[in-house]
Amino acid sequence: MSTAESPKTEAKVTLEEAKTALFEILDKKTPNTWEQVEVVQKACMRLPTLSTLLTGEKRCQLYEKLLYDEHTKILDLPDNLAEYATKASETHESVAKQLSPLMGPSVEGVSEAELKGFVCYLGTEKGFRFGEKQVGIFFALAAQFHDVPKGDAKANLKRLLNLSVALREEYLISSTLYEKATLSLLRLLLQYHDPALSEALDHQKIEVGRYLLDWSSSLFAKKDDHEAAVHVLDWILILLERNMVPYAALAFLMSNRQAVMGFRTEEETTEYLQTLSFKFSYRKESALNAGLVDGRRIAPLPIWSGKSLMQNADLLVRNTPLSAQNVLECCLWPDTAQLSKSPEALAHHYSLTPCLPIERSDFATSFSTKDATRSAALDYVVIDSRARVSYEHANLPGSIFVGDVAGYDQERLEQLVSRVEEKAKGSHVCVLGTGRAIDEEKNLLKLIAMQLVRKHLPYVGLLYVGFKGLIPMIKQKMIVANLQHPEDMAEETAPLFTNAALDAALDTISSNLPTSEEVRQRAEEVRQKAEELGSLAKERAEAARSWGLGVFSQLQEKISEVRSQGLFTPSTEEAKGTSAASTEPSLIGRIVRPSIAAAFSMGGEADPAEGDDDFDLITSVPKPMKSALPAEETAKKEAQKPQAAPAAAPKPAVHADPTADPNAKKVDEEFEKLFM
Amino acid sequence: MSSNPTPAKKQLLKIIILGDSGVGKTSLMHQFVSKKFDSRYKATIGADFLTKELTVGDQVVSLQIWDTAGQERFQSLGSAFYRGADACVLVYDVTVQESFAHVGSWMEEFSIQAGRRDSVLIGNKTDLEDRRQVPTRTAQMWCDKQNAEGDKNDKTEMKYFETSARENTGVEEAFMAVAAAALARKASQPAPVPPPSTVNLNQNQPGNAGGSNNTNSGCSC
Repeated sequence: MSTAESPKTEAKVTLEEAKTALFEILDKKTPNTWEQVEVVQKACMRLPTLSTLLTGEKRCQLYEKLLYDEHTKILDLPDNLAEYATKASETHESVAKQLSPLMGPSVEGVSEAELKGFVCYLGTEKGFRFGEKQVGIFFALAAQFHDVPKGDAKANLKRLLNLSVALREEYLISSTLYEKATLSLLRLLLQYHDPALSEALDHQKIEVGRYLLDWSSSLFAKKDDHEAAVHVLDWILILLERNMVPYAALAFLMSNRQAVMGFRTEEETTEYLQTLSFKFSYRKESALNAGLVDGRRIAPLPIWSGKSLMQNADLLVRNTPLSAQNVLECCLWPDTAQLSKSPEALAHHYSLTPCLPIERSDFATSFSTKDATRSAALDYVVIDSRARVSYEHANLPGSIFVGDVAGYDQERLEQLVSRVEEKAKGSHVCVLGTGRAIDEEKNLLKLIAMQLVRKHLPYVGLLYVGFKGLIPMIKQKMIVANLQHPEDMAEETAPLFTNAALDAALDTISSNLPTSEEVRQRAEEVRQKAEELGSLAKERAEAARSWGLGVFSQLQEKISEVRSQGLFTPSTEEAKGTSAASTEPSLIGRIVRPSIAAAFSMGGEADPAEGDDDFDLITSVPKPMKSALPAEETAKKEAQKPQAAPAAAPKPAVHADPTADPNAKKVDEEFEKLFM
Repeated sequence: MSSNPTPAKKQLLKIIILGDSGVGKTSLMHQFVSKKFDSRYKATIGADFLTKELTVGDQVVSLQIWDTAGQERFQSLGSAFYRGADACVLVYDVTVQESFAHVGSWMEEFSIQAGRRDSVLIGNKTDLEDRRQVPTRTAQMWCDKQNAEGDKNDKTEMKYFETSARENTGVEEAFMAVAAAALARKASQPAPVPPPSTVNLNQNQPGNAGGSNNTNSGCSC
């Protein structure tokens, strides 16, 4: 059924009718085709209180519809189940002991040894880990069988086996390969969406990434309180989006922000977070996220059900840069795709950044020359901290020029932050510099980003490759830019002054000019040379010369000193690069790009002379999940996303009553459009 | 090179405060700069700085004081700001032996990033005398040892101070001492020698082998 078909009819569908319709669908023995799954999803979406309506049997049926597809091979129980009992570990025994009371009559007649063997088989042969984090969700599944009709106990065990295996394969996080990076990234994501909450937790030395990861890994189930978990799991499975799991954790934490921010000590906060229950109850006093009415177009809604949690999670996903989404998914499920950085390098990368790093690929979509691509992507307001002449030469649409002269002057920095706050609060802002590998500039950009975050501006990111990294995309007309002389960026019209030569000029300037006098001398040389090469080249040289000139002028003494100490040697990161790179004579070390081919293509062979530092982390397109949409369906849904994007909503608002809130309805409608 | 200071010019000195989490680095900075003390503990994220102008001898100095995070997870972010520092202030808590034990590694990390610099060691929280774990003599001996072991050609000095940020005792003296040391060092250093104008960083690159920056390689600027 299409969304336009019969809205009035749908509105008239009562809760009871919707419930009956869903249960009828669940009772049907139809093959799990994608169309069938869609029918189930739509039926579920009509029931906001679905979780409270489902019996154990119906929930099992629902999960089976959502977790299995046409190609799922249903596993049989081994005949020699009791024999596995002899191999059972203490953990298996402990789990088996709790299994019988949880499953109740549904496993009547199954011996203790068989139950022990079942758990052992699931653990040893099917890779289900019964550790602290994942045993809760297993118990939550098992508990659903308590009220299934009595019958074949072995058949019930078989159903539990298959559900557990499918859940493990598709949703459970078991890899710890990128754990350190994940912890940092989750913290950065919280900071991106809720800087005030993130700051409060940081001030209390709470490693928030650990909580978010633990909640995600356990699928919100606790060993001793697994009942609430299914209320979240229902909606995670209905959405068929495992990558929503960490965002659900973020959304849940943010829904508790007022309580968390009210604590004064680390001990209080830790106790609260450790004992936090995932039960949802609508409370007026916790509904108003006043702190999140901060300029963002749509603030998260109060959470009163698994569905509203996932709505908020969806809102967070839509407002997260795609590169960060992909990296997080790869970190949690490393089989999804390959990252171009090792776990250690990735962790180091995140440990150095004061805010979420924005990748070039994010700009490739947000500033795409193709309207359709651009409208589906996040709108970035670029905080351009290059020199004015560079900015005037070329800049990105909608950017805010702040220049490169703020330096370490508190007053100027405060003015800068106020300007950004006034013009762009609530928008996705991205701090951008020249992209040169100069520590002073990098530190200045970090400082600017930190100041914005400290002002609690949401959605603050930093593009480390800087404008330099965007030039190839501008040249190839992949992204839009305001150009003073558009012909400058035409690839074929620069026979005298190539980009490589421009880069060489920049290298010479940046590494050879420790004093302002030197800067001026070298600039004069640049100018003279440019005159020889023609007026076009001259303009470019002028622009090139100015890149970061303010930084040089202000920090001349520092640079000279750093140079005198020989500190322009490659950083640890760089030193790990190829020997060819490490022997490069430049004083300013270049970040060595891993040799793995990046999926994000600049559309041609990168010119090594351009120093084309590509920090993009994703090197391959994530593999679809087993139960994910077929390609054509994905394309169809992707095409629907722009209409549902939160950016389209007109004004910020948070209301106490989710049912009366027009924005809530809007979000609700947008959310549901995804499935219509 | 002349070591005579130029009197009129205001000197900018970058000072880094280092030490374990919770030893009172932020409190010391705020007490020195703003004469304020907040007993509520808030861990520093990354790094932050405050500026204070003061006069050392007849020299006006703008002291840029960088407060860095003591938490391990923010150390990488904070240490990026060590570069270009003129001196450092190492802080430990006199009531926490472990924080004193870590002072050496903080100094080492600082030296890696910023080079050897004059520094002061501060034993903070002397208002909690009844809970003291690190005797004054122990800390003083550690400083003496550092001073004795220093590079003879590049002598740096470490002075020891005990402070209470809460009661504002010893704070001014410690910061004035580090400012004076940094200033003296800066004045005694030769002016930076500009690199020869003929340096050609692209000499290994094909098409620019001439060594000068006016070859016909398209643009050598």
